[in-house]
Amino acid sequence: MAAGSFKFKTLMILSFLLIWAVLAAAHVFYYAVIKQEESLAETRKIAWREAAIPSLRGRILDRNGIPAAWSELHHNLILEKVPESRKRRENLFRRIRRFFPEHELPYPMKLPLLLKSDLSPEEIVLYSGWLRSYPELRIVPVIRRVVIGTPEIRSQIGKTALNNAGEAVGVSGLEREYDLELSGTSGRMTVMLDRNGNWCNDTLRITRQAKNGEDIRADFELPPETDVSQELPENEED
Amino acid sequence: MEPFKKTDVRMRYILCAALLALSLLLLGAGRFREDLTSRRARTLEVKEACREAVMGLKDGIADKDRKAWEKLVKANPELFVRVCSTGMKAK
Repeated sequence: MAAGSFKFKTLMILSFLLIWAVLAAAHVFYYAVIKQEESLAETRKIAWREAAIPSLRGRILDRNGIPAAWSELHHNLILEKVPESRKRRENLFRRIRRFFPEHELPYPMKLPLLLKSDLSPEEIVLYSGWLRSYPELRIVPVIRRVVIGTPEIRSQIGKTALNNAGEAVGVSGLEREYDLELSGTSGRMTVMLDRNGNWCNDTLRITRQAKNGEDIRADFELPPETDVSQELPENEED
Repeated sequence: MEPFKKTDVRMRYILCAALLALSLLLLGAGRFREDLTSRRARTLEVKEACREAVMGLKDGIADKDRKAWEKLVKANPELFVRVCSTGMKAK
């Protein structure tokens, strides 16, 4: 009787394990074969990101070939989000205060917070080391259109504004008249992000190269005493 | 032939298994090397594409920083693509 009961229990346990194994295998089969494409598409949607690589708008030159309007690329370091974890937040704030003591960093604060503008290439490399530990920080490009010359020349050159895609388009003067020639085509890239928002190694792909706009030559002549360093940026693009 | 006759059956099996394992290892190593070579080539291609993408923006860099920009872009092309990219969104 005891031997029969033992056999019965063994059979029960083995049957249970068999059913469990069959269910697990069916589950794997379902996701790996039947729902494969759907699952992959969903994963790609979560992990893959697409971004634009900006192009530079063409220059407007005077009749002697001296630039009167051009685009400048600058980089700013910003704090986009504040870490939710108290420990990480304190560590990040301590680091920011050490490098940028002018920021008081109240919590909560208005975001994004500009920590440093006009980074040099060396500073970009230096601060990029922080980005892996703190994806809440970002280095963002800023493109400024600089216009120089007398008020009449500036008025003739005109102005640009940002469209919905964040690209500069001419809204008045030569900027508008020659918008097609001056406008470039932005590039495209794709990359996979991990759950913290960091870029995964070996996943970056340039899918389209950017093409800068063409220079145009205008009829006016810049006065010889025009001092470029005294001129203020016409506008900013991000 | 004498030594083989004297070798017992178990040793022959072990010898065969060792030879099989060795050939599989060699096969695997060959494939691994091929994979490494193609991956390295792909990485170089990506780096070159990144460099080209970022160097296109060189004219927008201030004169004083242009030399450093060129040098650092050559060394870290992916990083500079990252800091120049805008409007990141789900694909």
